[in-house]
Amino acid sequence: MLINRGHVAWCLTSLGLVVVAAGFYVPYANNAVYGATGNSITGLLFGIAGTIAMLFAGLLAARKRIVSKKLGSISWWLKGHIWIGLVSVPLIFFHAGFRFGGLLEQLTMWCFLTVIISGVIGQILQQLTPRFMKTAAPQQAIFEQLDIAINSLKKAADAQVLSVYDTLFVDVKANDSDSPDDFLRAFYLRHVRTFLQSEVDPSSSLLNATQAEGIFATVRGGIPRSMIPIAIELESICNERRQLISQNKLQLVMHGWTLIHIPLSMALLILTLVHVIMSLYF
Amino acid sequence: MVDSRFIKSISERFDIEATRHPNQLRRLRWRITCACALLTILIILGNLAFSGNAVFQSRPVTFSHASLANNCKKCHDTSFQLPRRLLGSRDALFIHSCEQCHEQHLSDHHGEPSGLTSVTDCASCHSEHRGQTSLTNVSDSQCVTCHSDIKANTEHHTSSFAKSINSIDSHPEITLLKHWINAEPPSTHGVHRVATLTGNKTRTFVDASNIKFNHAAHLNVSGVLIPPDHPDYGRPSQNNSPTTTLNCASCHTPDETGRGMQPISYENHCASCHQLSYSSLLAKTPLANNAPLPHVRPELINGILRNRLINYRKMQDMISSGDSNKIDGLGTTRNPAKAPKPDDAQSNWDWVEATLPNMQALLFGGGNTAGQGDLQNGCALCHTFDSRQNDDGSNINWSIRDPNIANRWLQHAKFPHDRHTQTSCVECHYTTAAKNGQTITAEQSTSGRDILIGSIRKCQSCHTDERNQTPPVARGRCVHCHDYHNDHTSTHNFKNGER
Repeated sequence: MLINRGHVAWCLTSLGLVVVAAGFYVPYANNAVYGATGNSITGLLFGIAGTIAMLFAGLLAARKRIVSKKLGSISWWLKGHIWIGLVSVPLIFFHAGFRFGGLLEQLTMWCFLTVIISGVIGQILQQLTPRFMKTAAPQQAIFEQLDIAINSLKKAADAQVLSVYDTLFVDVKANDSDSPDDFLRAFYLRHVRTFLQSEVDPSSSLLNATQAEGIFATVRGGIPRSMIPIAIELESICNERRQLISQNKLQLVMHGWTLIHIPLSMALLILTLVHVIMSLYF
Repeated sequence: MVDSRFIKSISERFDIEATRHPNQLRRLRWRITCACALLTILIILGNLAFSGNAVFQSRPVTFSHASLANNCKKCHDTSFQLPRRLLGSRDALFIHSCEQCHEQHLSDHHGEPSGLTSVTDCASCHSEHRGQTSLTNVSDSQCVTCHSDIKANTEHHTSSFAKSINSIDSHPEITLLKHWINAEPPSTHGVHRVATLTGNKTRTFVDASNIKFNHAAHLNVSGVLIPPDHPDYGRPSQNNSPTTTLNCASCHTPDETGRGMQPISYENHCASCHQLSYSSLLAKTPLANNAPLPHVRPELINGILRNRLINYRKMQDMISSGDSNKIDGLGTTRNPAKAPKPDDAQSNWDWVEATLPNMQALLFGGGNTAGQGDLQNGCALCHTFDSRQNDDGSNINWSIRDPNIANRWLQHAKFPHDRHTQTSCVECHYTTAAKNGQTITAEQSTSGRDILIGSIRKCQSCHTDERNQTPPVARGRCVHCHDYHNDHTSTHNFKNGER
């Protein structure tokens, strides 16, 4: 989700909540006999508020699975996830009195901070990455259908080559690959078709746009004039394939942080539950 | 770069069945999440197995409870104690656990706190799980909770104490040394046991020991007279003179704890010099039992005197001599004012009763009737008497004001003398004369009514609020001088230092 003007109200509300909480915390911490602690009434209230904020943020996952307009739009929940999740940070610190406590508390606190930081980083990445994607991959496809798009490109390239050759797969070594008539097919089979696979060899010369442009210029010089449009079309297909590669990388950047954020959120949930139960029990 | 594709070419590559295919990223994320959850549970269980309940401690227990570190139930003996305690359940208080080992009772402290800021639990002040610190090192903030505004926070003895104290820096002068100008102290809680209020316009407390004592005379650098049988009499170190030099430690000796002083008693501190060997009237009579009088109440002295006079009369009657004025073979003559009586119990008794008042007046009223050498003094030298004449004008009833030498001056504070050995006695033990404000040290005090207790200003010259110390000198926390668990009933009796 992009942070835009629609978040202003959430931002101001969250800021107001933090200021109010700080307004309660400062005199409480100053007057507390042994400093702010979690087992005082005020500390406990901060803990409850912080936990509610964390649970609210965690409900986004559940909301995504429930299709119902009555529960509010996912956009609203995502905004709440971001801003209420951030509000939970000062609340939890006020609850703990800015201490990390014992073993369980330290584990919980570090897990909590990692979740928050990963979320902030993720939000920054999601804010900036689409702009890169727009310039790096204007011909992007639906991320989940990248393989399908790649396969389609390969089919289109095959069709182009078959429009001038009777068959596609021949023994390149047996035939005279130096013949201008076979040059294009040989080039296509050796370089272009391998480049259009799902997994691309990292050493492929077509990965670099400038290098690919030079290669195709050379190819156009070595083939009959009737085949030049085919070469131009193959070059266009390779360009699109490069964009899909860039898109894939950017998508991993944009979503890969969730591999840390979400699992640790689960761990945080378990640790928080144990902390709440055992703290109240003792 | 502008997308040069057309919608048709894009749509040809769109698979409407794509949503049925599993998302790799989601699958990976789900597996990592499950693994993470499992790992978390294993970590918690593993720590629980190896460290026990200590894994749930917010901070280590204090060193005094280190043996209980893994035995949470010893103190946390009630389930869900925190919410129950916050909801006001008295069963969830820690005091029940504390009393398993500790015998203190909260009611020891003066007064019953109000419900608003009541201290209902040991843990209110003695907060555990603060790591390596002392449980008795209670923060001043705990005391200030009530004492910042004592009137608002408690109903008991509200007028006895300073209305507001926030630290030692704002500690008022101790009541014993206060002056009241055209006013009276609102209450003398505890002070009346050791001091009495005197004065008209300017009222001050004076020592209520009922003992006349002159510190200056006793601490004279030239020394004090001692009787011939005193161990120091005639010592070469004393230049063979009948004097000895006294100092504070001659009488004020530390008790077994080192913090306080031994009670002052006649037998231990006065008898070696101020002996009660009886008067010259019977001194030379071997029959008169000239043992020193015991240091007892006047009623008992009267009995002893009667006994000795009866014996004297009996001895007198036994001597048959032509010289009616002779009493015995040693040449002692009878009192010429008293004619010898015939052997008659009633007449003997009458003689005793007639003689007794004179002897009482001599003994109790003062004069050279007791002691030896230059130390012949009557009881009134040190004691204060109340004498009342009978309605018929006969006899005078001598009653002594009970001595009340304070063994402990500060009812609500403690002073460890053993920790102040670097300070001389007179640095703290002085008084400020009410009239001119002149400082009189113990060595200069001539009156037994002087209260020679150190002023709070003297304490504040070293002990300050450690938050304000630059550089730090000595800490001035409330608990250094005051005990919350103060059984004040034990400080009621101070007769001759007895408790």
